Amino acid sequence: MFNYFGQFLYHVLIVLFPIFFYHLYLQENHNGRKKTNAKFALIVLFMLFCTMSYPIEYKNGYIYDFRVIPIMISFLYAGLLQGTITLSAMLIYRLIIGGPGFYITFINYFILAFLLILIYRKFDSFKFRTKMILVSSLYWFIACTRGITLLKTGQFDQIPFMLTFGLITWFTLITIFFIIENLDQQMRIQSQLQRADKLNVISQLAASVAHEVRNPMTSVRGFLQLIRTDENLDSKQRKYIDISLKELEHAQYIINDYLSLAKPNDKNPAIINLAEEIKSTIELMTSYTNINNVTIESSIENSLYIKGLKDEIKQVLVNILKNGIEAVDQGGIIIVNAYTTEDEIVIDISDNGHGMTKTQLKYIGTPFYSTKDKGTGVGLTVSYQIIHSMKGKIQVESLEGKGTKFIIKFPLGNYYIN
Amino acid sequence: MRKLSDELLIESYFKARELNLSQDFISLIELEIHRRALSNRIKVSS
Repeated sequence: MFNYFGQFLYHVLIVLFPIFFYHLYLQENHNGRKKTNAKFALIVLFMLFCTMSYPIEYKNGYIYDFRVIPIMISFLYAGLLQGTITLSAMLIYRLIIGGPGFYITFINYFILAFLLILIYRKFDSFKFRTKMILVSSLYWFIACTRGITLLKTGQFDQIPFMLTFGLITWFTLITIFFIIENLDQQMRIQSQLQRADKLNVISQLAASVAHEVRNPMTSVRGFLQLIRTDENLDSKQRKYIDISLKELEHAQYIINDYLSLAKPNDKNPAIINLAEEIKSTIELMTSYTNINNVTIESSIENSLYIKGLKDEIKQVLVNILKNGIEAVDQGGIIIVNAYTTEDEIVIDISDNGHGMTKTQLKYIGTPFYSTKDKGTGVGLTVSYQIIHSMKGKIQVESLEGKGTKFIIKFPLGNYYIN
Repeated sequence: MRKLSDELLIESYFKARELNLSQDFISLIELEIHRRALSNRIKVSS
């Protein structure tokens, strides 16, 4: 058995090394891997050829190698097309190498491919643990069929070898999955960092730009108002001026929106009762809901104390409620619930409006992204920022045509009023 | 604002106050008046 040790090491190395190389130098994210020109495909093929070229030959006709690894990872991480390419490359290479038992290999891998096709679509959405369990059981299923064949043909001397080989393959397979998952995680963190960075830059820029623009706008508006008082104007000219003033007002509204994004947050958080804030915000919005013929139904627990900033929280609620009111048609309903769970205070605000598509949902909260014609794409970004600064979480669920639900959660602190 | 003549500037200032235009606008004009050292003209007449 030990005389195979060197050969085992060769296979472990030849499979692990390309993956390490891939991880270090060819950083591809999880969508890049699925493209046809992906570097991942080359790495996998390289792995496959190296491991198949120098197999471990236990006895005449019984060869062992790690070809199952490249096939599994290309199906699970690179999708159906890449998987099929790797599989056919393996079969062609097997034909070229020759030797007996081609049809057994063909049938074996056909079954494996079938099982992989069944799960590859959902594989991305699984948790890390589930992925590991799935991959391991899939691998051991194959190993067992091999073991059963050996038992049936009475080759008992080969069983210990096969088991050792199986363990080593399994270990290598799991290591590779760890490495790829690790790479994916790194990519995710990187893109999150970029997003946070972008937000930071934008808030700084917004402050300076908004400030610079505000002064000239104030004078334009002021002088226009002065012109308007002139008696020599005819009604047409007056109308033009009115339109200009209205547009300016709109522009000012947008600028104020931006300024709030960059408003320095120097106030000290205080203990506030969310219930009161929610109720007063709903009251505040009633004039707006009446115009749009929308009703707000609410069920709010009486004492929901959190540590935070009063005005900011109000801004968040106004933003979300306003979005909701704009999303529903005449006669829509918005439901506001606020309650405590074991360790959280939950506010959920749902509407029965037109909802959002999956893509829209993905970009929600990013700066300058808006689904409204007149939106600036800042309101929700600010809200997200505020909630995060109060250690809260925000979740959005939406179904196109059915409505949208915002869920805000704050950690439950034990605050009492004196 | 800088291209406005002194006379016109002062006139706009009073008109703006009369019409109760936004405080931001009035402060802008005031700033320009101070810059031109005309402050006495608005103080004297008001």
